[in-house]
Amino acid sequence: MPQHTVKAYGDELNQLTAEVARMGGLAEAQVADAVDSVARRDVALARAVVERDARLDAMHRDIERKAIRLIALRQPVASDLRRTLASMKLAMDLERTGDLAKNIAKRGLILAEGEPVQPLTRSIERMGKLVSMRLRDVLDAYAAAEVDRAIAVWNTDDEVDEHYNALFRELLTYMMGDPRTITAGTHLLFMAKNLERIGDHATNIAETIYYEITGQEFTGERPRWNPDAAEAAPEPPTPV
Amino acid sequence: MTEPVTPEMRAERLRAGLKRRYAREGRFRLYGLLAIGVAVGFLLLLLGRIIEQGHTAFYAHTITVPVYMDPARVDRAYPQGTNFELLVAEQQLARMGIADDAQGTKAAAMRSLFSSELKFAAAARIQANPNLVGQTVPIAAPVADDADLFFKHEISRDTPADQRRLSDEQIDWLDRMKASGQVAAHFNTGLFTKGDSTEPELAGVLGAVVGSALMLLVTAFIAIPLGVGAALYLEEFAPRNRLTDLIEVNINNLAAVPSIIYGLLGLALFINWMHLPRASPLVGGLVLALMALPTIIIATRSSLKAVPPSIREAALAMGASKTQTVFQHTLPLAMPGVMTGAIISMAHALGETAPLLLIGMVSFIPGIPASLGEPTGALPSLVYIWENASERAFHERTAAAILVLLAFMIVMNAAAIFLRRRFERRW
Amino acid sequence: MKFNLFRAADGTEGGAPAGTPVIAAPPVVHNSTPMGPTKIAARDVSVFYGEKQALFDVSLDIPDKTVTALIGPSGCGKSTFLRTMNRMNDTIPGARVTGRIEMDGADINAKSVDPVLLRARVGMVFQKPNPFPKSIYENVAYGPRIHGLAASKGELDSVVEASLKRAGLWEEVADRLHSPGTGLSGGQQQRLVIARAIAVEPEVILMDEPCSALDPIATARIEELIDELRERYCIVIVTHSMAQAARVSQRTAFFHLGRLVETGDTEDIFTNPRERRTLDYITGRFG
Repeated sequence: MPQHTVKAYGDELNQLTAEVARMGGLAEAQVADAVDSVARRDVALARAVVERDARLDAMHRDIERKAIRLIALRQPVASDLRRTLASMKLAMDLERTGDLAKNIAKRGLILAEGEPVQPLTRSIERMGKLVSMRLRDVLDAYAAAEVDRAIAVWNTDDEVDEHYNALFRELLTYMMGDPRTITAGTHLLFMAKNLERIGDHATNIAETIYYEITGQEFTGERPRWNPDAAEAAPEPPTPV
Repeated sequence: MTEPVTPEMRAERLRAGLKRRYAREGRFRLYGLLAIGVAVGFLLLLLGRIIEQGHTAFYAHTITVPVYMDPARVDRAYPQGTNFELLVAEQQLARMGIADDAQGTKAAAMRSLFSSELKFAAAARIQANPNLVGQTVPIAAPVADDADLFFKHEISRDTPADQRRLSDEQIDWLDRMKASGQVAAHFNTGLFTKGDSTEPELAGVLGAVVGSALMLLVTAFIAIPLGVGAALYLEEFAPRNRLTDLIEVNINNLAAVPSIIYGLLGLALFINWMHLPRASPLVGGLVLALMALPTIIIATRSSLKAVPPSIREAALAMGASKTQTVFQHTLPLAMPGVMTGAIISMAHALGETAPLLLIGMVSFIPGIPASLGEPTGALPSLVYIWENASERAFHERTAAAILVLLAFMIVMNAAAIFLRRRFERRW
Repeated sequence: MKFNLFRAADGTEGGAPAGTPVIAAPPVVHNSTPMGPTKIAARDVSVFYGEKQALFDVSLDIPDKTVTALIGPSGCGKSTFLRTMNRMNDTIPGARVTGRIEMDGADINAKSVDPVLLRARVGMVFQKPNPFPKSIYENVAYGPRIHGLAASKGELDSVVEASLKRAGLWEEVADRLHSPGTGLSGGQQQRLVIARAIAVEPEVILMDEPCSALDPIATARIEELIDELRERYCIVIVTHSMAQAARVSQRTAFFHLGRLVETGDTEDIFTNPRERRTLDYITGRFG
C-alpha cells in the first residue's frame, strides 16, 4: 500500500503498531518466564516477572492514550481505523495476559517454598509451552499482518482446552490420592486455569487480527480468507 | 375548497406552461431578428448609396494631346509665361478641322475641356528640356471636371441643352477625341496624392488626411497620458470623499456634453485668449483632446475596476508598495481595456466635425500641411466643404471622401479589437 | 516487520534469559520539531471597520516553529485577526486596529514600521489561489525582485529553484518554468503561491483557508507541505474545517463572535476542551 500523503500520520500509525508489538514481546516473555520459574522453581525469575508487570500496565495506558490521540486528531477511517481499534483491543488482551502470567509467577513463588511436585509441574510446563507457542505465533501473525497464521492459531484453541481438561483430571486424581498435595494441587489448578485463559486471549487476538485485516467480524463460521482463489481454511470447531 | 394537486395534474400544467413559454421565447427571438434586420438594412442602404455615389471618383480620365511647341509663342527661358491653354485649344481645333470665329468662342469652349494641369505639365516639360521648343510633344493631363463627368455618363445628351453644363458641340468634340484614342481612364491616384483644389479634377484628400493625422497625434499625446493618469489616480490613490465623488460626477457629465461646446471653448480659449494659430492641427488636437478625455478616463477606470482584487491583495501581501502594485500588476492587467478605450475615443475624435468648424477648419486650404502651426483641413471638414461646393463633380468626390473616412474608422476599430483579443489575459 | 525481541541469541524458545529484556527503539516520527519560543504576541487587540467592531480585546501568543490553527464559525473574526499580523487591514479604508501586536518583541503597528517591510517578513497565502498572470518563474521571482534580495540572475535562479523544491512543486514544473502560472491545476497553483511566499524567506507564514478551494488529494499534499514547512517557519492557519485544524496544527485557538474563547494544545482542545462553547463547537452542537 502506498504511503500516507501526510507522513506524520503514517508514522504515528506505525509507531502505534510497533508499540503493540513490543508489548506483545514483553507479554510473551512474561508467560514463558512465569512457566519456566514454576518448572525450575526459580524464585528470582518469578520475582522478576512480578516486577515487570508494571511495565506492561504502563505500556497499555500509553497505547490507549496514543490511540485516542490518533482518533481525535487524525480521524482515521477504514483500514486505519481498524488498525487503531485493533491496537487498543490487543493492548487490553496483552495486559490481561501479563496479569495472568504475574499470577502464575506468584503461585510459583508459593510452590517453590514447598515440596517439589515434579510430574505435575511437567504437565504445567507442557501446557505452558503450547500456550506460549500460540501466543508467539499469533503475535508473529500480527507483526507480519498475515491473516492465515492468525486463523491457524484460532483453530488450535481446542488443543488448549484438551490440555486443560487433562490437567484438571490429573490434578484431581492426584489430590484425591494424597491430601497433603491439595495446597500445591490447588495452586497448580489455578495456574492451569490461568494458562487456559491466556490461550483464550491468544484466540481473541487472532479474531482481532482477522477483523483488522479483512474488515469482517469473525463469526465463527467457515472463514474464507483468500481473495485470489476459492481455497478455504478447514472448518474450525466452535470455540468453547 | 381546492382539491389537492395530483402528480398528473402537475405534469399537465407544466406541459401547458411549457408551450406558452416556448411560444414567448420564439416571439422574442423573432423581434430580435427583426430589429437586427432593420438595423443592418439601414446600414446597407446607407453604405450602398455612398458607394454608388462615390465609386466613380476613384477613376478619372486623362487626355494625351500632341502639343507643337511653337517657338513663336513658347519662350524657352520663361515657359510659364506661355498661354498653353489657348495654344493647345487652337491646335486641337485645327487638328479636328474646325474653324473658329473672330472672338475665338470655339477656342474658349475647347479650352474649358482641359484642366489647368495641362499648362503646368507643358511648362514643366519645357523647363526640363528647353530643346523641345519647336518640336511636337505629347502632354498628358486630366480632362476638365465636366468632361470627366461626361465620360462617366453623368452628363448625357438626353437632358435639354440649357440644363446641361456641356453644349452639344462640346459633346461632339469629346466623342471625337475619345474615338481617336486620346482619352484613357485610369485609377484616380490624384485623389489620394493631391491636396484640396477648387478644380474637382485636381482635388485630393491627402491634405485633409495629413491634417487629421497630425491632429490625432496631438490628441493622442495629450489625452491618453492625461486620461490614463487621471483615471489611475482617481481609482487607486484618491481618498473616497465628497470631492472625488464630485469630480467623478462631473467627468461622467462631460462625456455627454455636445461636441460643439468644445469647439466654442477652443475658440474662446485657444484662439482668442492664447492666440494659437487658427485652424492648426495644434488647436484642433487640443480641442479634440479635451473632448476625448472624459471618455478615456471612464474607460480606463472601468478597466481598472475589472482587475480582480485577489491580484492586488497578492501583490500587497508580498510586500509590494501601493505604487508597485498599481504599475506592475493592476495597470498591465487593465491594459486591454485601456487600449480599447483609447483607440475608440481616438476613432470618435477623428470623425468629429462641429468643433473643427468652429475653430476655423472650414475654409479652403490647398496643399499639404507640414507643421502643427499651419492652418490645415481635416477629413470631416473636407467632406463639409466639398458637399457645399458648386461643381457637380464634387458630388462623387464627397462620397469618396466619406468612404475614406469610414475606412479609417473601420481600421482603427479593427485595431482596437485585435489588440484587445491579443492582450487579453486569463486569470 | 518482525519484532522477535525476546528470543535468546541461540534461538531457543521460551528460554528467554532472566533480566531486563532489550526493547528496540521506536521508529522516528516524521518532524518532531519542538515548539519554539513566542514569535508573535497579541495583547488586547481590537479591530474596527468604521463603526462596527469585529474583534474584541484578543490576547494570544503564537509560538515559533509551530502551526497554530484559528477555528470558529463564520464571521467570528479569525480572518480579521490573521490579517492584523501582516497589517493587511491597513489596505481596507476605514479599518482601525487598537491594542498591541509584537513580533520578536517589537510593536508592528509602530509609526516607524513600514508595512511593506513587515510583509516581507510575514507572508500570506489566500483562500483562492492567486498566482500572478505571469510565468511560474516570474511568480516566484517577484518577491526577491522587488525587495532586492537577489544580487544576480544566477542567485535569483537558485532562489526560485529552492523555493519550488521546498514547496514540493519543482519536479512537476522544472521543465516549464516559463509557462503561465495560471495554467496549473488548483493544488499546484496553491503550492506555487506558497513557493512565492517563501521565496522572500519570511519568518511567519499566514494562511487563510488555503485548502478550501481544493480537492482532498491536493489538500492532503498541502497539509504534508505545511508539516514540512513548520520546521523552518511560524505558521498560522485559519480554517473552517476542524478536522483540518486537528490534523495539521499543534496549537489551536477558538474564536467566537469576535472574541477569543479558548486556546491550547491541539490535542487537549480536541480531546478535552475547558470551555463549554469550545466543546459545543467542535462536537457540532452549535446553533
